[in-house]
Amino acid sequence: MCGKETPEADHSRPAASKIRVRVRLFASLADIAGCRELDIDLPAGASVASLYERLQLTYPNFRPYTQRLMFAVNYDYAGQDRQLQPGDEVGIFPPVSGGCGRHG
Amino acid sequence: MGNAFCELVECEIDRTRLIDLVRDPSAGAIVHFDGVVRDNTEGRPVHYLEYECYPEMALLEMNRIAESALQEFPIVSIAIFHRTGRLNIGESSVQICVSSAHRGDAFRACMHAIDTLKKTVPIWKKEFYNDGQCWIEGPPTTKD
Repeated sequence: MCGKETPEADHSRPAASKIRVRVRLFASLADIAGCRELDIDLPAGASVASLYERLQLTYPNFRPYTQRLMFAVNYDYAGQDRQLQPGDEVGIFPPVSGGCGRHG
Repeated sequence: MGNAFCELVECEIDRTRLIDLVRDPSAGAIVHFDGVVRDNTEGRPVHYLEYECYPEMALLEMNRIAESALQEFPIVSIAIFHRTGRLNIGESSVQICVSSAHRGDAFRACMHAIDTLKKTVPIWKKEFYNDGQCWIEGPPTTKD
C-alpha cells in the first residue's frame, strides 16, 4: 500500500503531536514496496530510525537490507538518529551504483 | 574561482560539448573520463543496463563533488554529466571532464570526482542478462 497511510486512531493526543513526512524509495526497495513515494504520519520528535522501524512493519522484506541502507533527509545524507520535522523528505536506498564497473 | 557544469541527461552524452565547456585559454591540460557500459560483469554477459536516480539529490551531490574539486585542486573547470534510463553496451553512463593549468592536477581531480561519485551520488544501475536482471549495489560506505 502506498500513498498516505491511515493514521492510527489516538484520541489521547492532540493532532499537533503528529508529523507527516514524505518517504522516497529507490532501486530494490522501491520494487519491494511497489512504489517510489509515500507519506507517513509519525509522532512528533520521531527519528529516521523510528520511521524505518515503521516501514519494516509494512514491508518486512526490507529487513535483509537494513545493515547497509543509506538515509537522506531533504537531500542531505543523515544518520538514523536524525530527528524529523513536519514536511521532511526522507530518501531510503541501497548503496549507490552510478557510473560503470563495480567497486572502482 | 573555477566553473562547475553538472547535468543529468536521458540522451547520449555530448562528449564534444563537455570538453568545450571546460576549455579555457589558461588551461594547458584537459582530462576526460568516459564511463562506458561493458558487455559483461565478472564474466556474465550483460545485455543492457537501466539507471535510476533520485534526481533532486543526485544533481545536488554532483554539484557538491564539482565544487569540492574546485576547492581541493588547482583546476580551472570541471564538468560532470550522468545519463539515466536505458543504456546499451558501449554507451557512456558518465563523463567527467577537468581542465587545469597542469596535467597532474587535472588527472587527480578527475579521479577524485569519479571515485566520489560512485560512493555518494544517488544513482543505481540494474543489469539485464539473458536469464534475468539484478539491481547492482555499491559497497556499503560510512558516509561522513
